[in-house]
Amino acid sequence: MHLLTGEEIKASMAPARGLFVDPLLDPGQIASSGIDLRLGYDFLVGVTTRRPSFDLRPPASDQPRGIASYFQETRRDLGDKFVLYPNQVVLTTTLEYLCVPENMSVNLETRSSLNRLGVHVGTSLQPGYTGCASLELFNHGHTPIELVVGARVVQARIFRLDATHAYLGKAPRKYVANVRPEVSRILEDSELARLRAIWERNSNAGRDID
Amino acid sequence: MPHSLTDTNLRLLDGKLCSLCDTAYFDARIVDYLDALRSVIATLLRRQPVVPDLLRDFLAREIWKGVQFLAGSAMRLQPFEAIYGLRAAARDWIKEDVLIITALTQQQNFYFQAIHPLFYKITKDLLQLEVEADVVQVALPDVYRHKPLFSVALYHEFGHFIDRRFQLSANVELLFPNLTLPSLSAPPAGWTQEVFRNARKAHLREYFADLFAASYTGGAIKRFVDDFAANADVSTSHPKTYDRVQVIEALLTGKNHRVIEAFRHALHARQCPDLTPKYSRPNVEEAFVNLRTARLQGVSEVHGILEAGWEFLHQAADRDEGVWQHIEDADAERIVNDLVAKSIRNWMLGEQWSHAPADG
Amino acid sequence: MLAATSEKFGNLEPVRILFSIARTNPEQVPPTLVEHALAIIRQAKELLANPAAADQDTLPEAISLALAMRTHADLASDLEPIDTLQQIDPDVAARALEHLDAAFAD
Repeated sequence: MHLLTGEEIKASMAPARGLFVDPLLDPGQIASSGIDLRLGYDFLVGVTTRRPSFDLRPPASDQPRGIASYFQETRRDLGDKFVLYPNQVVLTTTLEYLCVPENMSVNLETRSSLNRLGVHVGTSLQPGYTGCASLELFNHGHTPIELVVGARVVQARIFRLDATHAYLGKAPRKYVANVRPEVSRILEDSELARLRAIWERNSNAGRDID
Repeated sequence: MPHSLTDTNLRLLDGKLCSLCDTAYFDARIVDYLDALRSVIATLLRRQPVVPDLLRDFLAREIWKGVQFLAGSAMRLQPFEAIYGLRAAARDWIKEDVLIITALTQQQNFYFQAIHPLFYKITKDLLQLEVEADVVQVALPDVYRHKPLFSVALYHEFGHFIDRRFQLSANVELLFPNLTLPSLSAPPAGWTQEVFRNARKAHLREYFADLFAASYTGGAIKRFVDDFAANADVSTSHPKTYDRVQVIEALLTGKNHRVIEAFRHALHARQCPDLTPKYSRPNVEEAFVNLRTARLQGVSEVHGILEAGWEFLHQAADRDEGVWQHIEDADAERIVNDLVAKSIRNWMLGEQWSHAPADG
Repeated sequence: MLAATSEKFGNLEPVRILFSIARTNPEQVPPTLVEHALAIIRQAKELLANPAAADQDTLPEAISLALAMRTHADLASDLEPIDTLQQIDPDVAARALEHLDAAFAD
């Protein structure tokens, strides 16, 4: 695995199948060993509801409340402020739409300036990923922070891999070519159905003994 | 003084405007407009200068409309991408910078409405108050706010708005009262002469709105008309769908058609823009096939991506190579709309960035 | 009813309001409204005689009114003699309103 330098990043931005970053508002975003990416303009803000918790293993008979209902959508324009309050979960994306080649992967980390204010994001993009990268913002500090839409917030480190890995084809993908934040689709994880079956069997076994 | 319902309405509307004062609007001009409406209300309630009651009633009704626009504003859910092209089209036809306020509705309906021009004239000449002119409300279904392809209908509705503004279809009827309209050469059985006359006017309005939309969105409006008014027959309000598509086709292929010629004549006499296509179609194939955004080269391509996007969407189901063979039909619609929206938004971002001074 | 009025007459509200006020209190019509409404009527009469006269300075309201006058002879004969506010007495205003209403009936 090889961390691409700035020059290698520029070289890999070929039109059809190479690394794709759109828009690249300032070529200066390409640093010595990564690309700075900007804060996007769509946000999903966590809201308080009457439910006590997210149930990630709801009973099969229950109609689960859609996870989207725990978030409120809001949009801004370039240059607008977005206030991130302490202990608030906010989903957003990078301003840039990215295409990661099948022989590369990307790690995203908040810039040091934001880390020092108590905001930390760490995520990665798999080979073949397309879309605006999802950013899950959380303010660990005590003071609200006024973020600016379009400001550089994360740095992408890009790694060339030894083999190619197709993003689509082998298994269904939940997040494809997304251009705005999407709530978690964890309830679609197939293992949750298996785990629910195990739990139900365990529960019934307990009743038999009793 | 006896109770005046108009006065009560004005006070209530002022209260509503006051409560909207704290709303964070994107556009500072909307804030100015809100303040201006409050000034008009204050002046009317002071009854100085004196305004005849009928005129006061009229002004109050238009203020109510303005409050409706502001209160219904999408604010933090602005469908920038669907509206950007319309703003550009507005600049082609209306010289002043139109203030567009967007509303998201629960109805399956698109519409434009505006404050009556007499409102601005009276407030300026009689009350000596300047209210920002050309405030227009655009409404589209909330479920379409991220679907620019489905907002092609907005161009058609904007065409109606332009027609009302300039009375173009009325002008054609005035100039060419004997113009034979498709499938409407004589009153159908059961129609009176009055019904037939009104139907002619209505059909001309629809043809203009279609032609207006086609000059910006090309084949996209044709597909939309075909989909949403599939096989519709002649009615008192709309032409036969087949005839609408034929007229649009004639414009797009440069063929002569008496309806198009009639409108061209009227537009030329009034020194309005003509119906020449104002879009250029970007090549989105290579980008969208690889799930990439298209890099647009100008406003004409912002209009043109709608035609390109529609065509790509209609072919997406038949793609059996590359990544598209792994994408379900429902996802295909979402992805194409998102790629169109993001392509438009990226163009907007580039324009904003490049036109701002580097040092602020 | 009241709320629908502006929409029914569309851009001819200035003319409707002029006649509505003149029907009872002609002296109360503001000069700016008089000037605007009379300009609409004057241009409409010109267009009725010569439809090709419409140009970039033509008021859109005049086009609507000319079309209405062509199909409603009563309205045309009401408006034909009107050039000044003094020619609009309450009877003239009432008749013109009635025929304007008929021309824009749903």
